[in-house]
Amino acid sequence: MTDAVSLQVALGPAPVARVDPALQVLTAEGCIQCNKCTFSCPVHRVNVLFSPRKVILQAYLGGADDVDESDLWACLTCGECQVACPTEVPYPAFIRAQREKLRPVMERMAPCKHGGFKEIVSKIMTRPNLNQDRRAWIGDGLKVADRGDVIYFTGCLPYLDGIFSYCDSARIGRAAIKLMNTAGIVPVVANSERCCGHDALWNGDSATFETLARANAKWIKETGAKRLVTTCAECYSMLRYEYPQVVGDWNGLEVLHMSELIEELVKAGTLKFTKPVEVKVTYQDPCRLGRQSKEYDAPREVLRAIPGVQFVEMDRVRENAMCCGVGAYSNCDAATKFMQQDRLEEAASKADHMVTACPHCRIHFSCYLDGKPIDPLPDLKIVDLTELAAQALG
Amino acid sequence: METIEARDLEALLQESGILYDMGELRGYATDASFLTLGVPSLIAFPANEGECVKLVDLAVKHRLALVPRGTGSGTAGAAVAPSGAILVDMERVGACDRRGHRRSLFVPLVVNAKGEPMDLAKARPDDELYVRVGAGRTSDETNRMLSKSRWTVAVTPSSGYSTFGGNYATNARGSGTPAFGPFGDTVNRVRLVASSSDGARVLEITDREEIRRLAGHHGLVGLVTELDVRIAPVRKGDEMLCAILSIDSADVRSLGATMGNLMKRVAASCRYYAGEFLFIDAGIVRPDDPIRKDPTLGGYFAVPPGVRRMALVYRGMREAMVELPKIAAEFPEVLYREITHSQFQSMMAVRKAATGKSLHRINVPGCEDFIVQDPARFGDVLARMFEAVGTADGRLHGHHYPDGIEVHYRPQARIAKADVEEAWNLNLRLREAVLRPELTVEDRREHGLGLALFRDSPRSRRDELRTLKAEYDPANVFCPHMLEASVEARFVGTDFTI
Repeated sequence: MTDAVSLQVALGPAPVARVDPALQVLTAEGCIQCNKCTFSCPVHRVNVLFSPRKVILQAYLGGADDVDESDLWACLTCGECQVACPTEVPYPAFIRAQREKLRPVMERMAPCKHGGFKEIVSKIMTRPNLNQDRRAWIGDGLKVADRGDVIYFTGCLPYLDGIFSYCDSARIGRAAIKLMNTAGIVPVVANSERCCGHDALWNGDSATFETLARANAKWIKETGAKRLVTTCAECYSMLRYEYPQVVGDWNGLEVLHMSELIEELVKAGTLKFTKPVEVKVTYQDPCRLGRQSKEYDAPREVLRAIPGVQFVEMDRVRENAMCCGVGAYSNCDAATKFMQQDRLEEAASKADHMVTACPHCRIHFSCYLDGKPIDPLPDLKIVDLTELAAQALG
Repeated sequence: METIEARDLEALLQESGILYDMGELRGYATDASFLTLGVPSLIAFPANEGECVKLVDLAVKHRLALVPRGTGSGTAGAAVAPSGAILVDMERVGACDRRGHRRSLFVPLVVNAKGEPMDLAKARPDDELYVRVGAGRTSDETNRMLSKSRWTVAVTPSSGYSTFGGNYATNARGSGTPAFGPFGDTVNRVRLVASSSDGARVLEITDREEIRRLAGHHGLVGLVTELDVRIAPVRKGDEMLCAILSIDSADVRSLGATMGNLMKRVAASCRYYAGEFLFIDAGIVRPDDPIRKDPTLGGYFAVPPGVRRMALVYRGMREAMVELPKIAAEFPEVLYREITHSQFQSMMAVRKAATGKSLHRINVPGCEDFIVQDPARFGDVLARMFEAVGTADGRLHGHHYPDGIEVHYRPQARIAKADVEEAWNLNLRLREAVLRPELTVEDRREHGLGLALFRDSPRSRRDELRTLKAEYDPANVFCPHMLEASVEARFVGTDFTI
């Protein structure tokens, strides 16, 4: 079979009934109107008119239709509210469900920023007859394969630099492959790969998400790989936690974030950092890797393993980490800029490099710094964890 | 009240630079009681004392009604604005940065009893210190910043997310009350924007008796903008004792008698910061809740059928609770276990969540703040309450204060008139069953029952509030509706509408 997968063919096992456990929890053990969510919400801090508590109260006094469209899209789905909530109301899941429910009746599509670029890319990837060259960015000296035990899921990496050229996100991918090659791994990088569907799912377009999920699941399973690694926190959360609900169990395939693989290889002695990287860094927990996937430690262990790195934590970290200000590319406005200024000020007070483990966090913060910050900021570099680790290879 | 066109009012607010929102603001329709409902058409968000002054000046000049609101997590009904009044959301006051954004990270200003700034790093445990905070700050965020220096707000209500202004307006109780008293007793200074016939007047009150007199004002006297709130050192782990005492019994009267006598002995022999109890049933935490796997606490959540399990947790200085294990040993039916502070906090989180509501159900207050003055009658009180409750939803819980056992129960109801009335009627049956002199039960009325706080309060309390209002709000702009004779009409028990 060629890489051009026919999506008209039934893909994978029959879908698991999508009973959204989040909504069940929401109705069974939900909001007590305490307002703790509101005080935790990064959007509320810069826009006092936005309040998660208010949204929920409006929803159950007036029905879901009573939720204001602007409130629906102002939410970053970062989950800070859920961490603060005494009854752990899954507010991001509630917003996601509302977006999906209201999508048919909304006057406009989800407000995808940057000209709708990400949404267009996702939609294109649902097309059955798609010819991609997903290896053009790799360059010489790095080895990838068509088949193997380890898949490197690149996500939107090949396309991000088309818009965010100042970020050079492909460096993250090259760094990942270099690290794996050094450890004796030749990863599979597949032309049949599609967008993971993260933005579609979180913006209420479950149809697009499911189409992408089935397409990806098919080629992944056909490789017979035992492990799948990604450098993107969003792809990680999709492949690890959301895909099984749509395409069934992975049957033994282990899904890892790159930080977890690096940590494992360093501890096993398979990967050695021999070149000091003399930088003072702080770490930004991506929402999808941290709060949503509960992976806080692997990235920190990697930083501690790199010789020369001086690691200083910010005040708001781990489950209390502040979002980069953009969720699923659907909100990027004045409020976002204030949030980003706030977070970067905090980072700059601790270090001269802010490390993150998600290419999208890196893009959003870099985009802000590349533009005109609200207030002057010390010189702060935004760098990906994988890229930093690769610098420490001899 | 003289009416003013909404358009003119909007123009005035724009001119003043105060952030506001207009429209049918259903998101602010209630506090946490659902017994008082009111959909405001205007909400103002002042950021500092200056903007509060402008608001009060506007109110006096144009005879507008102002209803201050903190988090809105209380049940007194005072944070709900009737039609035509301006809801004043105070959460930004003293909590914003120079951009007007609410900042949860801040450097607390610590002062001594004279108001002189102090360096917390050099403070001694016995120093009498206060944190000078904006009324919009919450205990949670303040404690987060103080924790670095190992200090904490002395009295923190279980709703740690309530504002300090709200804590003072309701004279809240909580963790620390057994040692420090209610919140008003821990305040050393208050700044208040009151009214006069000419407009706003800013008052700074430092007389402790006057501060106590104003505590529990429910917004009737002005907009509180800043307070000096007592802080206390966080003791080292080995200085503190946290313990859980539990009892199982199919006979709730006997269970209550045992625990009541135990609590009487504890109150006489120990001093503690917190004494909290709850009844644990199989569904109190979700099946996948990590606490079920805790090697120490997990066992408490596997309750045999047909049995009631009460858990009582204490926290205090070890040296002041030396007698606790010995007292517990005198009651063979009671299981005593020392726990870590982290485990104590886990149990408090369970208690807090278990007393909450489901999304499509609300708690209907009405049986709160019942103080059982003679702990020996606790068993009789429990027996009557459980008999009246039957199979209704809701969980009994409470506090052990040195002066008695405070019991709370809130039935749950769907947001429909019939269901709320049914829950309210249950409350009335419970009140009838236990508010009896022979049971030594008194209704402390701290939380309030929607506007019934004012309708049902003793005449003396209403007179006190009227006197305060006359002194501090002669222009009658703050919550003018709350002391009206017709307040009964706005209480859900008689007229539930949204």
